[in-house]
Amino acid sequence: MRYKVLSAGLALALAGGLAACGGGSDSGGDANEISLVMSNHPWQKAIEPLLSEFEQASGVKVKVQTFAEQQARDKISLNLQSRSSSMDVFMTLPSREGLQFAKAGYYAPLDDYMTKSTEYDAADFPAAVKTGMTVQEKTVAAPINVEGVVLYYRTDLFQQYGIQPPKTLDELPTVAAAIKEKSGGKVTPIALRGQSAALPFTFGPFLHSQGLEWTKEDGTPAFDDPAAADVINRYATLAKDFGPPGVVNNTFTQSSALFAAGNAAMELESSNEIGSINDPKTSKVVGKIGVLDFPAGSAGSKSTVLNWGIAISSYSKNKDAAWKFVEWATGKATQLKLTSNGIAPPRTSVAQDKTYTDTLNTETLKQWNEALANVQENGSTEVGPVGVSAPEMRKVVGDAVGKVILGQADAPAAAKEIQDGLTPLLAKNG
Amino acid sequence: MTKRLGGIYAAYVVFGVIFFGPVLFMLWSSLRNNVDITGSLFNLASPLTLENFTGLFERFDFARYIGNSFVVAGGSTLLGLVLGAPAAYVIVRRKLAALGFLTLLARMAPGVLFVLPLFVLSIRVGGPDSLAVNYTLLIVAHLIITLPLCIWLLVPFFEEIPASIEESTLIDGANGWQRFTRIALPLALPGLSVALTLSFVFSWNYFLFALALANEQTLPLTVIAFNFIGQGSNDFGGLMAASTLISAPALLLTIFAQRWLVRGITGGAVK
Amino acid sequence: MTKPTSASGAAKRAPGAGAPPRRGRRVDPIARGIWPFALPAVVVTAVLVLAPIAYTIWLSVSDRQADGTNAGFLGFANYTEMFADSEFWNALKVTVFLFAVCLIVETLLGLALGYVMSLDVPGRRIFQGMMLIPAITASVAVGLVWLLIMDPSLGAANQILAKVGVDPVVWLGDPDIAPWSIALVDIWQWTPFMALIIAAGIRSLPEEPFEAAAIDGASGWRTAWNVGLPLLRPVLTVAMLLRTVDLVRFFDTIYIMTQGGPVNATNTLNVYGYNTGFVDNEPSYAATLQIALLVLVVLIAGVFTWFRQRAAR
Repeated sequence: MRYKVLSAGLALALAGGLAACGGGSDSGGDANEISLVMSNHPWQKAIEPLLSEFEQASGVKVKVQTFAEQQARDKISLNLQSRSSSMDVFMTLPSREGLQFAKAGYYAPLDDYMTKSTEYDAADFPAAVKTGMTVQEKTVAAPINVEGVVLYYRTDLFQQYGIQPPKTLDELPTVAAAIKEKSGGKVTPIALRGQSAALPFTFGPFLHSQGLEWTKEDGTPAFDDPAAADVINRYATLAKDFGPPGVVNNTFTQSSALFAAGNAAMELESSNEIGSINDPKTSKVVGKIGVLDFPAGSAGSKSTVLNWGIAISSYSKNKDAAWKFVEWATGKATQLKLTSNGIAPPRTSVAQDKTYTDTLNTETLKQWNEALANVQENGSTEVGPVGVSAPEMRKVVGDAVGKVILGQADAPAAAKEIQDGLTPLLAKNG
Repeated sequence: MTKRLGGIYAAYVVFGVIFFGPVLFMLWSSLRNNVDITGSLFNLASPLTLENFTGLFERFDFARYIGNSFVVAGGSTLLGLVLGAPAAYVIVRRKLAALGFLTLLARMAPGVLFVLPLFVLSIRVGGPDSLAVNYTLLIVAHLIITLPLCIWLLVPFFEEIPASIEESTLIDGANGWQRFTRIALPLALPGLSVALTLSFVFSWNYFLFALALANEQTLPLTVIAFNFIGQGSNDFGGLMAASTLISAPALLLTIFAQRWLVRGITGGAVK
Repeated sequence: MTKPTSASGAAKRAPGAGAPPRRGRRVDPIARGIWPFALPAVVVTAVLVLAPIAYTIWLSVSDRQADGTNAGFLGFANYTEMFADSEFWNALKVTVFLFAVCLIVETLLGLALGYVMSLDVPGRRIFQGMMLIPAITASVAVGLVWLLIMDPSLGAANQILAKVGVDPVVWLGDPDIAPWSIALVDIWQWTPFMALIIAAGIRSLPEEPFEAAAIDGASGWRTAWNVGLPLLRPVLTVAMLLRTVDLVRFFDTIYIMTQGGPVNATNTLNVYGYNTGFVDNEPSYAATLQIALLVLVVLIAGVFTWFRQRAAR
């Protein structure tokens, strides 16, 4: 019976194949090879061409996987949830997932490495940056950039309409209204975030500049303060009356596309976005961009400052090689090189280096650098409420503010929704 | 009669604009500059350029991604056929409804369900580190798509083969395997072409498993397409060019293998 | 399943006899001894499909932590949590909404397009080819292209509407509109699929009933309704079943276009399950949602099949 032979053969082949697979071990490659998972980001684009320098100098081979932000998160999360040693270094946002990841034990602490290294000079990072990379008194990641919320505006349009750029939160709606009126509604006065998970980043500055915080000292939400409802109202009114159509689905992608296409007079976004709106290949408004500090509220101009970091997975089997990479990538020499590709340096020494400051040779870039300096000095590192459920909490805030933008709820109701929604999630912090 | 013909062609135009318009928009946008894509749609005179496509190959290892897509879609399709054809033959000749249901279950389970289990498996077998294991895993994972599809598509073709033809060979003493390979399989050749075409397209199109399982060397096209929009970069031209390349098999097969595609899509529903 | 040993007593049938053998007792001589051919496929399916499902069921009744450890058997706590979770019910609502809208529109529009495609006129094949493309284009490409088309300020859709004097539509940014926009993309992608099946069905219909109706003087519409549709029903139900299975698991275009937003307006069960697993890092609860979804798909498909078989009798 030939079929019996055949099916037995097939079964054997299948079993053999599986066994052969089973024989492979989760070795995480050899000791001189690390795997790096990155999110599509200006830093990633700037560092990739430099990797060969590191490989030659250190003898460590770097395997790179780059995904768009959401896909990168999926991939990183898969690796960590299944304790995979096949990812050694990954990009992370400690302000977002820091506590969640730290509690799950995903980060290998970097403190020992940093103190042992003779050249690294961790003291070179400003205190706010270091705080941002520290979770439960451990350094979980090394900072790779600095970014924060700034206000971009179109110098040509403001001149044409004879309007002064807004300096305070109170002026902001007035200026927006003037643009709306003088352009006959043709130009969107301000592009800003509305997508729920992304909104807290640009909403936070409104809160902090009015002297408020996400949470109280005792760790409960601070949205029962009537002033919080006022802040929600300011943000929602701006978005609803002067934002682009469909603003509740917008994040940096849509805002920058709009601004770069010349359809918006102002954009409230991350300092990173200079990369796309000031690039002649993707933007029509190069040379017409002014950059402002976040408009001041009753407590001054308090933007949100954000650092991306690179972390070593606690499941990595090549932690020493991984550290070599982290040390190189966030060291002085490399960060200085990265500035030539528009990566704002988190290191004080690099930020003041003449080689860097000389490259900021246009009015736009000079203003951008000043705004960024202010962000670093006065910005809050709390992008959203801090906790193990940070992503979920940001969604609670974003959803509630989104409802006000859509006119489905008023600001006090939204404040209450946030207060009620955050309470159980913050309680998880223990 | 001409009036009726006119009506039909009017319907052709209406449906054509609706269903082919966005495809045309994609093809056209892939040849335009970024600033024109986000500019006016009616600026028909905007210059055309191949830069979006050349950019793909300069910035990314795009030839490799295309190759990977071919390996994974091709491998999973062939394996799906090798395993599926005998199974479909058995289902038809033995009228095994239960087996049919089992394969249907594979079609019903949400893809997200497989992601974590498949990833855990891939870690166990060293998938992220070995090229060969990684390709094998991707091909095997895509069997979840191709195998039920092949069986589903082949069943009606085996049903069409009259039992009498095979019965006549019983006299010659042909055994089951010989009947299958010498009689049934050649007669079901059109079915194999249909299954081959459609499985390939569906496997090529699927992105979720590759996102979870592929490493930097085995990434297929579909996963890369997400990388054009991100912080500090809005490369709509590159995005449209990548989308066009992803759609290339669909576009080409429509031209060269339309008959098989149509039979594949309608197979199982229309006898 | 029939046992191969029972085949020994199979009666010889005259070649060409059409009657099927009685199941379970006797096996057609030509079907004898072929069952092992199906073995590899069965094994592979079991390993690839049943094992992950079993693993997911286990996850849903145990407490897997974000760090990959499992705190052990939980019982049905996750399921109780699910039934008390308002977002689960919202996701169910969104899923059913998209399923109903897409299936109805795709079927009706598919009938119209399918009829047009079934007519024999010069150029039919070129037209059919053009209609084929949406159905076989990768969702990734479809989602990304439509994302650009539906951009509220820069997109092609609103530019076209502006030309004809319609105010811009906030396609994806308004919770009341976004589900319809997502449905629109699905309808665009899958109506041609329905239409192709329907067109093939129409072309395979016998001519006599239509000729008889024409002799009786029935109008075209009446004939289509009274004669065509009933004859087409078997084909139509298979096409609808195939769409149903995909629609209940709605995922791809939402993952690409809205990730479930705005304000959860497009958060289908599948998308919610995905977000719970990979954004909120709650693998066990995500598994619970996936199992709930699988049960729902199997149930709906089962009901569908039951109706189909009852109608066939």
